[in-house]
Amino acid sequence: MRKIWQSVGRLFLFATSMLCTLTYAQEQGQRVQFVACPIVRDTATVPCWLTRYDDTLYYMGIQSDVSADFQPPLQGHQVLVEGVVGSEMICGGVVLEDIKVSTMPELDGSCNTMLPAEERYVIEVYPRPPGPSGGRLAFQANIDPPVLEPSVGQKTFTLYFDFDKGVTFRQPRDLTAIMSYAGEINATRVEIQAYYARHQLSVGQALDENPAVARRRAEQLAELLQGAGLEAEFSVNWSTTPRTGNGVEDWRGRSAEVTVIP
Amino acid sequence: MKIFKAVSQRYVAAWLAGLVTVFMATQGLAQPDEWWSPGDGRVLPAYVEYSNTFGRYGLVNTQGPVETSGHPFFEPLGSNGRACVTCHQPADGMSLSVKSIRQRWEETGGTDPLFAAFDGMNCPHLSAEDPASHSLLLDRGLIRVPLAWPPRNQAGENIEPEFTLEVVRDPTGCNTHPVYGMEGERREISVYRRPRPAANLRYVTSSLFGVSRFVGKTGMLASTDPDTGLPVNMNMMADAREPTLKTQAQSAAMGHLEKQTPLSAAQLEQITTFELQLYGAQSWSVSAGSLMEEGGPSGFGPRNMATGRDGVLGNNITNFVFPMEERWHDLPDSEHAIDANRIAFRESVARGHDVFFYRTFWIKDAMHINSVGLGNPIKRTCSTCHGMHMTAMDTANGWMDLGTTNLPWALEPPVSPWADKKPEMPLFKITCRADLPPHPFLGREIYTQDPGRALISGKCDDVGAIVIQQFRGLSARAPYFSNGSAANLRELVDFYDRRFNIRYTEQEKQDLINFLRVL
Repeated sequence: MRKIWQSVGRLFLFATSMLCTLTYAQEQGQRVQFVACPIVRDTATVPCWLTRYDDTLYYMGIQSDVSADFQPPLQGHQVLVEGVVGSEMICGGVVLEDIKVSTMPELDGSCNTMLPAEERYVIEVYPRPPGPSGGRLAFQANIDPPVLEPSVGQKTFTLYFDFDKGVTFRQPRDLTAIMSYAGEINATRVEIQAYYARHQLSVGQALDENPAVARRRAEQLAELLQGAGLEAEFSVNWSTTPRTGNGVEDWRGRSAEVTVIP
Repeated sequence: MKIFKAVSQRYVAAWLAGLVTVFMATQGLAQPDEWWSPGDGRVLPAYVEYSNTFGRYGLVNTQGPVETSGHPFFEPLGSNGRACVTCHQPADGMSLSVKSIRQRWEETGGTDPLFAAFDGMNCPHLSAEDPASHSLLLDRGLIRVPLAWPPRNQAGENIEPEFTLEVVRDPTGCNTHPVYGMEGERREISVYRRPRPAANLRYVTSSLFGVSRFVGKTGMLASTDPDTGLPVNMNMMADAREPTLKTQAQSAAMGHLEKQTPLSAAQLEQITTFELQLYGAQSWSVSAGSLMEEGGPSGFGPRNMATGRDGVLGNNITNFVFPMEERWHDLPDSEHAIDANRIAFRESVARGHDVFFYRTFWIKDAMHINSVGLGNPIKRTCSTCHGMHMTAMDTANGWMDLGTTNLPWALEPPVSPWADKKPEMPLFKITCRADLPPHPFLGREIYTQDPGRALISGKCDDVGAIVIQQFRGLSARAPYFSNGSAANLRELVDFYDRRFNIRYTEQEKQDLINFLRVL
């Protein structure tokens, strides 16, 4: 009897995996954009981050450190995910390539799924272990050295934001670069143009940021740059219509442009 | 036979006591007068040790002996008879222990300047003679810190806070008082905090790591040094409200010392120079022996503090937070009982280090650590937040909400028909503005005993965020946390165990405590 049940179980698993493969094969290469709960799965090394959308479990990335391209979202919130369905399976999820995630600001207590480690899910490549590092940031060595360009003429810096958010931990590097450039060219004028975004979700609905966030981004940037000592004439503007998304890299609409003029 | 045994035990005890006395005398370690009163006029030696329950705390003055007569750190410059040294006692790790506070109350009948009405009482309007008026100082080592409401920026201009604040509970009577309350004449909010150690400040104020014009964790403007205009690391004081040692000294003189006129430039220079030449750490452990011996771990003892590198990230296997070089791991056995006990304790310390450095757990819902790109939750270790080499502070802009003052994690007495213990701490309700994103972990309504950094920045995200404290001299200066809510190291470890559901074993807890005791 036990053997029969085991056989049935195996058959079920096979059928399920085939179904997953078929479903996944049909979607491979497709761009998806959705809002869902982030799921964290423990492993013997670093945790991996997953999310479930339309009955498919997707792999988003692993825990690393602040230097990584993929920075995990916050549980306790939903997450806006944009990516391309890939061909690999990691940690039990279909890999989303070219992924961008943004934690939604409002709290959602239902987004709290933590999966235990299972031997079948192994993260072998992890630039930063869960404990102390080897002595440097995980991806420091992979960052190409900046191309040294002469600091002449006006230059526009584009800053990207999280959904409905103003300045956060993501902006200091850009702000420092702006300050540095402005100092090098003795900037006399700074033009700020901020936007809010519309995201075209895969289900066909549009998801807009709060229009007020464009103004908040513009004014915050001006306040911070002036507060840091950038003495120039400031022109501060914000869009009152969303940067319309078409489902492809809509995250770029959550942005502001800062043009520094000699 | 029993008589012989008793005599023998007494002989051994006496012999050991005599040995200790001779040892201390020959080592020049006769106990100095522990309490420093303002204007004592003593000389602070280049190196001095003070006993505590778990051994001795050593204080190095790298510039040699200091003649304290006339020195502004030691003289009562204000109107209430206090000096800086009143709350930064050498015997208490340059901070202030509850043990010393209570002893001082007993010895002076509460007349010591430490118990000044301004901030050594729960509120200045209370009766000075009544110990209940000083309960937060006597029970938890807390000094009243009145802060302007609404907050002001570095230029003294009002900041429009992102939240409203309501006093829910006011056991001291200060926050609803017609003079001292937030709606009173002074428009102040009183919070209650522990004095921080005035030693190892080269590390605390270092600008060598993570300092920029913009705070790395929030993108907001960093405070600047008014003398140089340069950004500072904002790692000093529980709420990072003072940018430099000089501004802190000035503020403390006008507040804690109730000085009527500002300190002179020369006095400020003398105070800060003195503070930057002090290095303190546990120097000797009752159970582990010398923490300064040749060939010992380089992360221990005050002399290593004096020569160590500041502004170094230690949460890695290159620098370590407290380097031990494996010197106390797997020590050879000894046939002698005393040595065997010492070896066992040292190995426990080494294991405690590894618990601190390598034992992973899920860090969840901690503002300014989970919120800075690492994700929520993250599987990391104690040293993720306590990462600064040699101090275990955060490296820069080190305010975080680890739950010590915000509900639901802050220590609150149980409320029930059978509980008679009343809450000692005030409780505030924070309501974050609806037109801004909520606090990512606590939402738009937050209850807190101390809003922490938010009382300075006005930011909802900063509610309950407290600058991480250095780990040095812990054995000399209980209780712990900014609100004194952990009476001892066991309570401190238990807090983290609850807060992050770490599920330490008893062995891990004891090892971790032993490790913390020798810092």
